[in-house]
Amino acid sequence: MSSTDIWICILAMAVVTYIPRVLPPLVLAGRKLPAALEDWLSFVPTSVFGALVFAEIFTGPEHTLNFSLQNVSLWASVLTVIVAAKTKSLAWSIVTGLVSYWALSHFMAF
Amino acid sequence: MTVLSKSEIRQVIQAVLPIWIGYLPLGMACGILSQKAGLTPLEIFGMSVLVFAGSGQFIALSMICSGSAIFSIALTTFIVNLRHLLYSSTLATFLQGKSRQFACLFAQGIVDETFAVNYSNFVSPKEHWTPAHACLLNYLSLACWALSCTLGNLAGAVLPIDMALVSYTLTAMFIGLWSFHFSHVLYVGAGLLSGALSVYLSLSLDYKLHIVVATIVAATVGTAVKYMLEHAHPVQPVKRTDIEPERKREGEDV
Repeated sequence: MSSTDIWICILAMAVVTYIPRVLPPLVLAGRKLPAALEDWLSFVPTSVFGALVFAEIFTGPEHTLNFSLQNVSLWASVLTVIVAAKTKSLAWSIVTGLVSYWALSHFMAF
Repeated sequence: MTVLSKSEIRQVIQAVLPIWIGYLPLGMACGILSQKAGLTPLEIFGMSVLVFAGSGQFIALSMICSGSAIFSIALTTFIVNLRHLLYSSTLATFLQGKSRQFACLFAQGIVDETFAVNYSNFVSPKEHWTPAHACLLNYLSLACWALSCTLGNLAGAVLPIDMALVSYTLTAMFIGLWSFHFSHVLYVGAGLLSGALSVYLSLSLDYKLHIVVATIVAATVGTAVKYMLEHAHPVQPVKRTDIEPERKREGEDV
């Protein structure tokens, strides 16, 4: 990407990110969102992160899948999910993920 | 806009410290990735200030690396950051009586971490937390994020860094953010459904569209199932995750 393209990309990202942030205080002015929309939105975070995590673990380049048991990301993620669910802490999740990924990629590369 | 006293500023700094501790390594990782994606320090600084969305920036940078089109980067960013709509409408109830200009300024700083801290302080009977406190916390977080990203970009140019490990930071962060929403089996189920769908759809869809489509389908299925369950058992409504974050004070550090 050229420098101009990168700045266009940054501005496009800024606009689409700012709109959902600024609309509620301007438009709602204290009123609540329709209950059905609020319910649907409450499912968006878990769905986004579920999709991202699975895609990061199981997909490879060029439409390939990786279901191998030698998949380091898979085992590091299993450990990270356990710690994340127990601690609900982003810091502990990242530490667990990095340490286990680093250890497993040395341990499993026999 | 209200001017905060010295002791109030100290109160905000105490609240923002855990966010700073988390943002430093995470921002560094994001900055390193940005350097590999070919961004200059000024570009990643601009992105971090103008976009200010950790996971959104990570995804956009990996899409820039793989040569995606700007339109698909913007679409994916929009879907990934749509959750801010929920945070913003929850926080909007605390901004009543504030000017539109204040709301416009405040809104830029709404992310997972600042939402969690501001929301729990607004509802806490022990904390005296005003919109001015919250706005300062937002911008102190943004400043730390932008500086960490820029620092990472500079470091990435001179240090030999294991990129596999940096990109795994992203997955670990997603898992951590995901775990905040494990409050009810329905939310876990929707996440797993979305995960399975995204892997399946990745075989046929390009440009991270599998993430977008999987999210929309899983959120719709989750909402439908919730309605059916509540219809069958109207006495036990499903508790929403986002409105009452379960995080402990120490746990919400990033």
